[in-house]
Amino acid sequence: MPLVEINDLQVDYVRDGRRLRAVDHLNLRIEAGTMVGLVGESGSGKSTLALSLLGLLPRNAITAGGTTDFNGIRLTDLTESEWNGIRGRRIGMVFQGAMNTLNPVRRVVDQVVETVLCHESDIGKSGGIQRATELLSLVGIPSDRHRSYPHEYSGGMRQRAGIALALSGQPDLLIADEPVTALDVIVQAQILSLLEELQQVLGLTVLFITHDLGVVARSCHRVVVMYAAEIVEDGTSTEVFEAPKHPYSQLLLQSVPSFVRGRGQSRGIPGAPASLLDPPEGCRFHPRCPNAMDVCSTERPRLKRFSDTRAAACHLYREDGDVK
Amino acid sequence: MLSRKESPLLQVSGLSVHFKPKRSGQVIRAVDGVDLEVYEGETLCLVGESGSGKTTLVQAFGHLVSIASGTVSFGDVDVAVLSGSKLRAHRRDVQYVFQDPFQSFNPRHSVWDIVSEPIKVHRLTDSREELQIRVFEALDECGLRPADEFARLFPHQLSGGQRQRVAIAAAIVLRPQLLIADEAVSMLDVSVRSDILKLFLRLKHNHNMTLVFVTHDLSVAWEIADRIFVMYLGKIMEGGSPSQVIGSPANPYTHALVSAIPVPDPREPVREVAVKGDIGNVLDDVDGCRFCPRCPHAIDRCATSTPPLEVLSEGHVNACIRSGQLSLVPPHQFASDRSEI
Amino acid sequence: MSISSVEHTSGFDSGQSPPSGVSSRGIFSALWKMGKGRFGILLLSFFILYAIWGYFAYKNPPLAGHTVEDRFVRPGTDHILGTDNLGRSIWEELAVGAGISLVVGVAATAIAIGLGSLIGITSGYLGGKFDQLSMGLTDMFITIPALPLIIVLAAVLSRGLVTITLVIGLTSWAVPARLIRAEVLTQSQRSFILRAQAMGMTPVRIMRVHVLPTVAPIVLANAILLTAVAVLTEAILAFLGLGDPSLVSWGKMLQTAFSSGATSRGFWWVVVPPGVLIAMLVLSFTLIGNALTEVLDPRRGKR
Repeated sequence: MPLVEINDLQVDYVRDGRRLRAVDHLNLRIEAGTMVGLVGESGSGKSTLALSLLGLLPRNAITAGGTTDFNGIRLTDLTESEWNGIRGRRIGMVFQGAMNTLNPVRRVVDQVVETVLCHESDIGKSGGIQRATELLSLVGIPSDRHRSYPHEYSGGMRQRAGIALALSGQPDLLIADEPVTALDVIVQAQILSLLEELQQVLGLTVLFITHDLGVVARSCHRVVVMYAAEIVEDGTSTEVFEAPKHPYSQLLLQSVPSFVRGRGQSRGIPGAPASLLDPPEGCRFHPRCPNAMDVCSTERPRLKRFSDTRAAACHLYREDGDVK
Repeated sequence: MLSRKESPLLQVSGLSVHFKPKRSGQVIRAVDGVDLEVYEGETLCLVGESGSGKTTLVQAFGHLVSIASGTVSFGDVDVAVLSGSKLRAHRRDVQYVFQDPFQSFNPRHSVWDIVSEPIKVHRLTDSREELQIRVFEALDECGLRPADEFARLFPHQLSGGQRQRVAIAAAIVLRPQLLIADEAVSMLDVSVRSDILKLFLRLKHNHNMTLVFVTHDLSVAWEIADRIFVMYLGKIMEGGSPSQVIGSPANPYTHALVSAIPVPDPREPVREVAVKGDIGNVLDDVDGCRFCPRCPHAIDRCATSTPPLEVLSEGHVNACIRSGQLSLVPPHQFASDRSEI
Repeated sequence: MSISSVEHTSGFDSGQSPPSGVSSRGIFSALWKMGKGRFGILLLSFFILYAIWGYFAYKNPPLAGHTVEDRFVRPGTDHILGTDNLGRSIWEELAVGAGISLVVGVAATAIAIGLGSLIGITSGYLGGKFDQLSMGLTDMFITIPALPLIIVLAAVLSRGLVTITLVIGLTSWAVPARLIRAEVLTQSQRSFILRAQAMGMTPVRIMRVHVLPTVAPIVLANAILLTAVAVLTEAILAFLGLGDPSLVSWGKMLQTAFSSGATSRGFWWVVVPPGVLIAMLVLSFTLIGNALTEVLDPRRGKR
């Protein structure tokens, strides 16, 4: 059974009487012990999905339909108090600028201790300190720096501390929303190595949300591509990068400069991202799609599953994955 | 240092820019003794991480920061000594496009206000018709068509890419000789970046401008640069063509930087980035190579003598005293036929 | 790239929100939607109309010609709110005094904000030695206790409306100057200021075209709250007998009530009305000012 199973999820934002669907009939399964990369640009709905998995949707957002199951627990049915045992404890989170979530007036180790004890109050203060020290060392912070204050840390170290905090409840699932985007590229590589290592050593399941294709290619086993509130492609990293099926994925890959491809070869995607307030009829990508057919403007393609690992939502393909 | 015969458009000599934060009193050497030439018509990329000084360096070109020592010569004029109306006149020739398309504009100004303002400030024309022609032309050239409809809009009604096009239009409307883009695509979606970069190059070509592009993203430099200069903590570490700097980096810092870039190809092996710790403290007064504390190839002498920028081969310069001794493995396999733009 | 690709990227998932309350119409309708905003606006409108009516309906001071029998008449059919110790109609005096409170309050605030803006904007934008000097001066004014200073000045100088207005205005500019300077410092970090400099704009033009309009909303909110204080200060001065002795104002009415013994004799209609109206006028400004501050807070509307 997959660790996370999202079925037909719909999340709407409501403002001034208008509704915007940020997550639209989304189906996703995440197997335990894998690192899944969720790729999308701004306005794709990926951050809303992350918030929904943590029960942190803003007040003007509602779950309009569908279910999310985590390890047998129906997240979409939980009350706020029920979330307290899950959020941070079974599901950890690392955000962009997690470095900024550290309390500036308390020592780093104290903050980790506090979080550890919050989840496991029975191990006592000394148990908490021991666990906190282990965590900080696990993320690569030298022991002589544990008692420093956040402002004495560099950006990379603060992000490591943020990861330590995320892991303090010993979660099964870690949701990372753009965890390395704000970092310099060398530090980014170091943090990615750390995340990969942690994922293997601790058997973590990681949902890695980012717009950076390079990061996904490096670290993730599986890639899920989102466009305009839907999943348009799903497959292993190799499958999606080598032979992307959905035209959006193809164009996205072409838009990234690549040392292998040669200079001046990248191409942007024409048009603008689909408006979630007033999405196009039929396939949401069809106004920008070079392969658009007549059916694309009238009928929305379902996510067709071609194999255990492969799926795409596009009228171009038959059920077995071949082009029509 | 360079092999070009013509005289450069902009010549930077021994440039230092220092900041003195009030509290600590210690000097931050944001730019520390930089020599650089920018030639007419080229696309020069300044690459570095945060704290490298690249933004400060280009701000010195337009005298947006006070210059502690050294010279910035634009033509035969030393920018550092300009002030008042002469400085404002110089600013017509050097225009900027900044990073944040969301913060770059006064939210109360319409697109028309933004693009017409430079012309009004420099009083380039008295006639209302000519003003409109110029503004609409600029908008049109930057892909904002129909210009008259876009002119009426406000920044918050535009997407990030469109806002950046407005910023570019406002920058080129003065027909500057030098266009400086500081992280101009960093905050845009990946699918939009390529078009904006192409726009920069097209405008450069159409208006005979010179382009200096500051970025932390080597892939962007790979796409558009004629020459790349890599900076670290206020100093230039390496410079040359993209195939030199990215293809076979000679400086350990550049090598680490290039190795660390995640390539969008899962078959690419993940290269070990053998760099210790985090970026150094710009406050420290370091004799010797700035990268020394983190460098995997450092020897004793690295800590005491500051390496000069030496010529390795045609157009390829490097600041490392171990230049000839290290044989750094090129981090990436390149396509054997590379097309130049 | 066509016009049809322009969309409102503001709000919802994109993470950026539009500048709130950019237009004056937008601000007004936002205020109107809030309970306290609407109430404050209605209340203030009432007072303005009341003051205008009072100015045209009666003279200040109300005409003489009262007899001894008119003293301390209870509210009734002859006089709606009764009369005071000199037989003057409370109702007339209130109407006339409204104008004084409003005019002095607004004028003094205008002086304070005008001076405070000038110093705050130039100080914040130009920085350097000028900033240090003017902030030193500002701090001096902040630390001097305002009310005692105002009382002393009012007592020493010639009595009159102009004096009162100037005294209040010239002692209240320091705090707004500080606040405005802080806002200017924040706004100056935004890259559109840098762009303006890079374009070659003169500092004066930058301050006029870019800085001033950007800090204007915050200045307005503070100005309204400051007006509340100014109204109250005027009332205090008048109560202490430092106001213009020839004009009737609400504060003076309170002083009359006190000195004539109306308070101890239970003649509530002499004491209560001016106090209540002062409080309500101050309240109306405070409500609008607070509502405005909330409307302009960029965190409004986000999670």
